[in-house]
Amino acid sequence: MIIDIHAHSWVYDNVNRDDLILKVIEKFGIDKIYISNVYAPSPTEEEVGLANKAAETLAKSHPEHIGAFLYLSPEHQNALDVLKRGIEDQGFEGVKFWLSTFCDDMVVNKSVERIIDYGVPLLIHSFHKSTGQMDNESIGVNVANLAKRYPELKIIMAHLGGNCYNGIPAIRDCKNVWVDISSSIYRADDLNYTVENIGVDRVLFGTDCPIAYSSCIGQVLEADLTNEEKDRIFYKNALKVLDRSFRL
Amino acid sequence: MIDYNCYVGGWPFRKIRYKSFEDLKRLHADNNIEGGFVSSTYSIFYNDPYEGDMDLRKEITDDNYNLVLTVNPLLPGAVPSVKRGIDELNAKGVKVFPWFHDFDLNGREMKTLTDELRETNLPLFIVLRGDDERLQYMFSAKEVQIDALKKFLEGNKDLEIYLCNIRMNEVEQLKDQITSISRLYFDFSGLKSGLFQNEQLIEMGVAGKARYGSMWPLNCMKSTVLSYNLK
Repeated sequence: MIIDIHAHSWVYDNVNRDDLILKVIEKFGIDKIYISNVYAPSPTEEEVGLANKAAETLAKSHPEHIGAFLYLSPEHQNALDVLKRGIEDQGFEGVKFWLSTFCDDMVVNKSVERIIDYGVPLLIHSFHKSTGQMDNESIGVNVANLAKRYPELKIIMAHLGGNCYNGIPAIRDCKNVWVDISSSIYRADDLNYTVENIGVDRVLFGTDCPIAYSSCIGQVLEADLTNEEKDRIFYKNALKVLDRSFRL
Repeated sequence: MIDYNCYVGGWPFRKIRYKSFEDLKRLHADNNIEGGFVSSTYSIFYNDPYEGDMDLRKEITDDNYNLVLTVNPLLPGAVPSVKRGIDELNAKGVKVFPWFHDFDLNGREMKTLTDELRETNLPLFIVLRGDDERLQYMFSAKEVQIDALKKFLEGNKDLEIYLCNIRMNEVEQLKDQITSISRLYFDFSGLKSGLFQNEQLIEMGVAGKARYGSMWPLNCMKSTVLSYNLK
């Protein structure tokens, strides 16, 4: 069984890739893929609404194979309304922060407190780069700050923090932070390093589709893990984090 | 399947858990890869790369593997090391790293080296980058300029050349050269442009020039194999 916790049918180029999502489900034998549609680094309220509507529509058309995370810009005036409608009415199973603000900015607090109430995970884009760091792009240190501020919050730090040697040490002691392996980075040692530092139970499978796919599967298959441990990464850990009754 | 871009050895910027020739062979066997063109990561960083190549020769104990010399064209021993490598190490290729050794692809030193390759009939492997640019630590690799690479390729159409760790957008920019120069190839290790890269290469008309390359042990081999085999 495979659960992909981090994929997109829309990304910043605003091309609809619903067909691609369906293709990868079939091609790679994915049991469930969670899409979070992002629109622009600093989107308008309307753009957030459009992206989320597209995700909702796709997820509801294939509920057995597709779930969705709510794209939220917590600095927006309507953020709490978007969150309430998204979780209570639209069927989103988690929340995604992207680039509109650093994840540890105080402006996120009200949204985060509601996310904790709902018991859903918060997926945070996190990518440390030696070149091309974007405005408001969170890294592991930002994730750790938020995790320490809200130890009840279930956080998924995306992309192993970009460069895992930057991201993983930052969140190593934050037991409320899981990481996903999504991205086009496929270095030989990243997953082994991650498991050695935070354990296998805090690692989730993700791809960042349409950015990558088979390379992420390859990393799990090649890691120094037992088949049971690989299953935890491929789906068991995700089931736990997504379970709203599982609270910290 | 042959791995046209693999290495043995460590890396100065992070711990490499598996890096020996035996590790390489084991992973190749696991992935149905029969052999490869292998060079030494240590040679990239040594003052005299030939020292790393001599160590590599001692490790390679399998006839399915070809030793590829690492050459920094700016070093005084560069050109003599090619003939020496053929005689002493049974070298089957020469690899250059312009992103680290910072030489001009169209400069005098490369002209001398390519003349030697012409005479010895060895293939040239040009590695366009090491680590992913976003993950560099402590130093910034020099970006290989596509216009300079185009000029070099146009001036060396008779050589057998492999472009290693190339990006899809660079393949696109070099499409005319890749399709028109008969012995110009590129490897798969650095293509990071989405899911179905073979489809993109077919659309570009260059799929026939793609060769499997892992860039192991920097890259996860299984990741590159699955991407290469995905049709």
